[in-house]
Amino acid sequence: MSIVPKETIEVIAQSIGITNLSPDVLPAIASDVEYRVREIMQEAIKCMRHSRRTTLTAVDVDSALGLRNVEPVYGFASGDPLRFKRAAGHKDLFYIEDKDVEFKEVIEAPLPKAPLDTEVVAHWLAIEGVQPAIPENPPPEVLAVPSDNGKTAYKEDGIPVDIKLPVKHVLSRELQLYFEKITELTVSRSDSALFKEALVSLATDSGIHPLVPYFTFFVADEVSRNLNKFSLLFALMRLVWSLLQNPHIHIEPYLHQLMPSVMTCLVAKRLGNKFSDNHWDLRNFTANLVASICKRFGHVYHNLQPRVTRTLLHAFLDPSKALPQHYGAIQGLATLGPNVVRLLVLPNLDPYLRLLEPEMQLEKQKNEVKRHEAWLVYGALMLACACMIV
Amino acid sequence: MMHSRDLQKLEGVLSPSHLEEMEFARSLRQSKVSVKICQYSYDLLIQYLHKTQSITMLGIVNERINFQVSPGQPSSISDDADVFTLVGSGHDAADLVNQKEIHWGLLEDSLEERLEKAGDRITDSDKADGEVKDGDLEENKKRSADGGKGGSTQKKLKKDKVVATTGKASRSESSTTSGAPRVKPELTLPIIPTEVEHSILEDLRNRVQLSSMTLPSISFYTFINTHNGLNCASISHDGSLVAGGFSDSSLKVWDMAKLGQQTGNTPSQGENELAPNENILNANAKGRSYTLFRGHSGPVYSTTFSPYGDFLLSSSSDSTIRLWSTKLNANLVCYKGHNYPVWDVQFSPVGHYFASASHDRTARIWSMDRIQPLRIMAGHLSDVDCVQWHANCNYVATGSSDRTVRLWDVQSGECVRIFIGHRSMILCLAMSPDGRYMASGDEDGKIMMWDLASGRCVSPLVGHSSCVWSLSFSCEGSLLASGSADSTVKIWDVTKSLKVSKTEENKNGKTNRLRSLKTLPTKSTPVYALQFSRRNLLFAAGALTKIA
Repeated sequence: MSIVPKETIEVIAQSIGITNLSPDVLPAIASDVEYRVREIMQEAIKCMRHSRRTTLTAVDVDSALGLRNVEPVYGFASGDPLRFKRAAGHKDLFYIEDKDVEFKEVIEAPLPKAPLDTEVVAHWLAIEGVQPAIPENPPPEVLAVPSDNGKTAYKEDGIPVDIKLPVKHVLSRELQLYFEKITELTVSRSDSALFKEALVSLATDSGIHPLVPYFTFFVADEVSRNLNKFSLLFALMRLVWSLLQNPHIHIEPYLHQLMPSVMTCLVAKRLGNKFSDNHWDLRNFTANLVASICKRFGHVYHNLQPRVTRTLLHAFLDPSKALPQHYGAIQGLATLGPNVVRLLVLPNLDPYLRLLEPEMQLEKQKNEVKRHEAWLVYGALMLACACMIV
Repeated sequence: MMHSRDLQKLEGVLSPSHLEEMEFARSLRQSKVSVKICQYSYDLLIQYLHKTQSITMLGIVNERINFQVSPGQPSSISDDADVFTLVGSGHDAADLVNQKEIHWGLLEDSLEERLEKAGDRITDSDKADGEVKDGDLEENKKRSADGGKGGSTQKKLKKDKVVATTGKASRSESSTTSGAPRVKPELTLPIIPTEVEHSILEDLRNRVQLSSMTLPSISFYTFINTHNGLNCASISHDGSLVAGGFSDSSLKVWDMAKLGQQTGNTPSQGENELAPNENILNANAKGRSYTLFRGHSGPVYSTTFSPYGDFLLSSSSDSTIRLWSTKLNANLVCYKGHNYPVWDVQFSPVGHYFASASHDRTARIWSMDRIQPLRIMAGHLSDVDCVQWHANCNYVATGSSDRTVRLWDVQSGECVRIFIGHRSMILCLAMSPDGRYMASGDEDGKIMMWDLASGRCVSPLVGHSSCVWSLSFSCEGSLLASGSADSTVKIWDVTKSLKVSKTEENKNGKTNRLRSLKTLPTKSTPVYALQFSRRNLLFAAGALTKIA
């Protein structure tokens, strides 16, 4: 009556071979057809709602036809949406393209991958009413960035790097407490078992991403102010190491803040203020840290490694710098790999040894400590060259 | 009703002279009534009148009615302020039904009551409590629907005073449930085994008190890789088992407690523990973490766990309901009675009995030990979409596609309340634990709170933008959680403080109105099922869907 025109009925009748319909039959059939279609659609909507969906699919229409004892319509079972092509020459006419497919191709095509089996994953949507910032929950300030399906694990769709909108940074109470606890442990009780636990937590926790800028600032600040507190420096370097280990947080944007403090711990003139402070260990540890940073982020930041090596080389070759600085530089260069050693250390070995030798001998260098340092530097050089040969 | 006042006016017309005198009648005779109608409906109407040769009707229509025919789709009645929704028999019939007496109190001698009594004996004022409770039991039998509300107010006030004097924290929670009158059960109830009883009492003691200040913690079970196949989900009362009904006719049950233990056990394993762990691993040798139940021959539309977690019921489009045992992992019974798809099945709160809702416009009550239904509840004008038991197991509520919710008496099988107010198909129902209120959600996203005694809507809760799939009340009845297709869980504050007097109500009207407390979005996961455990921890389940 209003939707199905009688011409359609005529066309459909002709397509099945009935050509002699009288014209007054057509409107009656048209209105009846429309009523039936509406009925089926209403049943299909009920089936859709009970399947807990909001999009109507061909399956729903088939179930509705089944409810009315009508044979289902075949041929619409594929998952892809139907592709309509515009008919040539007509503005409003569309048809479904039926592609001719070679039988041989279909038979010999490799089997598609079996779909993954259904699983159930549990997570906390809210704890006492507050939604925790874990990867399974939507990010708190969702910027207008379309994120594709997070079916697999966490993707970095929270705060993309290149969007420069100012994000109001609100730290939850738990994160604040966490940060305060960690900083307090680092400053005061860095040799306790609790600190070790804290380091493990830093290396594995997935929800601490909002705290990363705070941690980098804390490290930079403390290193610059407390070069004479050895244990604190070591604790800070361990903290940086743990943060780097964490697979869930992205530390790349903050590298430029971390690197200066790390390099300081490596090639500073004086780390700690007591003679008993084993700053050699600290320098070794920091050298490993630098090497791991370069290895991990070297290909992303192309000038990271050259800058690091330049700094180390300057420290190495400057005769006015103290021996511990040379030691740090050599250790750094050594951990960066045999290539670096071959290119940078070996050519300069000769002039450097000429500088170092007097320091090592008892007659020229009366100061016991300085002689000790010189021997250590010599040992480091030997190690560097040895690893290159091997 | 739409024009009841007008009709009352016309009742006064008894002679032709009255017609001349009455203003209203004269205006009716002179002008035409305008009715808005869409093109399709108008054509249908005219066609019918012509076909049935109703000359008189045609005459009246032509003379007296002015149709405002609008082309295109029928517009919603809600947009028109002049028109009320008329459903089926109309408001008159509904009001008649709603006059019937119902006893909406809680079951006497329930576990909660026993716990309270145990707590009471410790304190000094148990005598006063005993008096209050006895009074409740006697009065409710004679109480009519309206009287119930008034009587319980006084009892509640007395009860609250008693609570205040003792100051015991464990009894402040029962401010709504203990104040409710107690009724005798109409069905023979099954006996609870003692270990189960002890564990439930333990849960009741450890229950977290929720209110608008203390919001619940929500544990979410996400189904991944469902490929749009998950039709329904259900969570057991302690939250450890989650069942999913799929469109490929399979039913899968995950034991979340065992899964959680497995991941916890693997790091630290002593020599002695290897044997039991091996057994667990061998059981899942096929690599499946769930138990698969096959038996239905059509998509599974609804599942429900028994209150103590040992049985599972599922209903499907093959018009059967199947009973499965979670301990034996086998199909026990197949209940055949409906002829059309069974859209919903629910266990009663005490177990053993269950109700089903089907496309054949009936809801049936079954018992686990009979394959024939015990009662058939017919009366809806369209298929019954959801069913829910009252807390005292004497009444069953059903929601239907005819946009009404009906309350049925289990013993007689007759309809005792009709709730009209929804504007679309009703998808889920929830009963408050004190037996006083009922919440229903429809496919527009509107939730209506109904007062069972009067049959009226307390308040519509608007907030969801899409179908409300699931509702659940917290155990003390102060919060309502709703899960929707717009991928959020909303927590609503539904406490009605009866202490506030009328004058205070007018001043701070905001504090009394039911409002939304919190909206918790999920990551593109519409929420299919919600269940408050006995300890007031909220469990939710949904399937991760691709954003189209």
